[in-house]
Amino acid sequence: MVLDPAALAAIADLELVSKRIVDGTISGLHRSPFHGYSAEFSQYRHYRPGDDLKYVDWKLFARTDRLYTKQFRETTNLACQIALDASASMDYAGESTVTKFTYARLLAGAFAHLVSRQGDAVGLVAYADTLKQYLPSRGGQAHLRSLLLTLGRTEAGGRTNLAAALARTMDLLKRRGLVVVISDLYDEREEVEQALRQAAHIGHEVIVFHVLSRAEVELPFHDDVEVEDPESGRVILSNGAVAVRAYREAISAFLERWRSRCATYGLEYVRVFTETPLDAALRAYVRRRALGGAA
Amino acid sequence: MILWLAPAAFAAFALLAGPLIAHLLARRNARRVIFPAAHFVPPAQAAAIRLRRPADLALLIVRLAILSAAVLAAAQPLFVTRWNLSAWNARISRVVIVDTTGADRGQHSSAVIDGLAAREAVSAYVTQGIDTADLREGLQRAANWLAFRPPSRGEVVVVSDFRRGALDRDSFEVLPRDTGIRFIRWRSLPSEQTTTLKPIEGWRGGRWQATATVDKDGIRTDWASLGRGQKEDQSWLTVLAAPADAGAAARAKTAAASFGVAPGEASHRCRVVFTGGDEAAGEPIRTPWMARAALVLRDSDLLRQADVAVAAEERGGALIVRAPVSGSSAAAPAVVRAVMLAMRPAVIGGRELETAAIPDTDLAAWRRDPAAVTTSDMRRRWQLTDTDGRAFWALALVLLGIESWMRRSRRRVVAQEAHASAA
Repeated sequence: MVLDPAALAAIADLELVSKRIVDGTISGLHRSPFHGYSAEFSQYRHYRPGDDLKYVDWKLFARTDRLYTKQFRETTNLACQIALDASASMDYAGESTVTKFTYARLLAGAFAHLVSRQGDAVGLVAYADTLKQYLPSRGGQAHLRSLLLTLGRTEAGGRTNLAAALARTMDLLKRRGLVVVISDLYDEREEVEQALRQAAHIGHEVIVFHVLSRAEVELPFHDDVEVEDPESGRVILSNGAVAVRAYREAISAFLERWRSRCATYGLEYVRVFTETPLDAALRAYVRRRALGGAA
Repeated sequence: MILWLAPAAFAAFALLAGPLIAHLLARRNARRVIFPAAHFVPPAQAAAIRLRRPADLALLIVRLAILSAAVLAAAQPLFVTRWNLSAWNARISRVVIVDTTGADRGQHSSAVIDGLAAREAVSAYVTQGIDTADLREGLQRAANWLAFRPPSRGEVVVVSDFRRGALDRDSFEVLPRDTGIRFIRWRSLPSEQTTTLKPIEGWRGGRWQATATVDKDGIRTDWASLGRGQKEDQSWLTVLAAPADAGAAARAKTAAASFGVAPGEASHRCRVVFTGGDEAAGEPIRTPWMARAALVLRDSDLLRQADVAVAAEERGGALIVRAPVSGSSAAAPAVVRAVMLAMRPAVIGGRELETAAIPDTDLAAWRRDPAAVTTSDMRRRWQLTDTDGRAFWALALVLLGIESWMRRSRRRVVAQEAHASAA
């Protein structure tokens, strides 16, 4: 079932929406994509075709000539911090039916739900030029509900300051954890690179969701326009038909820079378009991760 | 090769400046859009370069093409190809001039002439019939018509009995050199022709009618009395003289009328003013019948023999003839008689009784075939109802459809952008 971003955005209850997205995402997957640092043995059960051979107890097989699968009760203590870009540039829909910010908010909610569902701690940093909202990572349904309510209250506006947001996110994470950045990444200052380098150095696992509208990649006008930057307010006169080639080259270079930057520091880079159904985007990512893809 | 039959239409190319200026000015009315990746959008070039690059070049090109196609169509293009030339040479535009001299030719003769004319019309691409008693005038009308014929060879066919004097070598100068000429002699002239003239009133106090016969020896006229007849009303002619000469002037009029006067229009009135006659000054002649009468007076043998030069003018709808002699002079009757003949002209037509015909050898010498249409001939003012301008009109219509489609799609994109910007 496809979860249309526009349809989901129309549902006010973010908890319900995020649960719906997560249910749609992990149904059919054999295992959780995220693993904590420890797992406690629970019991044996007979091997059934399809079980992961990693959990087969081979010593017991040698003794009894029967296949048993070990089962664990996960006692993970993974801490996840979501850094949500709430700057003015995110308040753009292009030719999509939802803005990038709405999409990013739904994505953040779904991610929080996904992490919380497996008993891990999740927190939120919503930022623009300053920190708009922040919640430290904690587990439990009550915290998740609070996080989703906070997400729902957050509005887009102001300039992007990704470096400050990353610094604050790492402050909030007392130990190594998972950092999820959801942004359009229109901030390429040196400080951002330093923050990313630092996050990788500390040993955080960083996932960067690069949220874009298709219109941003293709340049959606063909005639003379005064283009206004929503964050700086700067206005330039341009002609779409004339500028399209140079623009596409520039935006491609920008996307490539971010991809290679993330690869350099061992960060996971996921590009999502607001026109893509949310569950499809999330499922593709989770499946890739579960299969040990890019990480 | 393309010929432009209305090259003046090229002046309309000036209209191309309209859309060009509109597209140049449109650059200054750029709308504002909010775009998050604005810092990647290259700014427009310098103002001077911007002015040279109009907005929406594709749409501008289509609009210019529409106007150009319309202008080219209005210039009436004609594609001159070998195929076209051969097609045009296969056609003949023909003028059939029927000589109507001798209205008494009878029903049988009319049927023969009409049959000949119809036969000529059948084999022509287009035909124009001209009935005339004056073949020279008919040739002039034929030349006028052929000048605006459709692309084709031109030919004039003259159907006549070719009485002597009807045509001569110079008569054909009015026709272009490439126009063919043929002659159809519908009958041979009889050796003798007789016609009855209109009766004359007043001669020897009676009514007379003459029968004229023309043969190789000359003209013979036989007069027959039709009785006393009615007293001819001569009030259309007034004679004015000095009071002392009034009686003599009246007698001069009576004497002139005694030679007989042909019937005429009663409304055509004339006053002969001798020296001392009371008549106010008139105006120059403008009425056609007065002009004809004045010309006859100028050439009058009677006035020449009497050595009197008269002056003619117009006043109050009447012809005023002033004679510089007194009403009692010996020349007075001659002046009045000359005026009567000028007002009531002769009743015998010029060639009606002609029995001699133009020889076949002359007709054969004047005959010529229509010349083939050449490329240079195409510059003439053809009467064209189907120039190749239609192709350009069709092109303009197709381009108009494309322009309409482009405008609609542009409007849709702008609406989407506005929606996106608003969002």
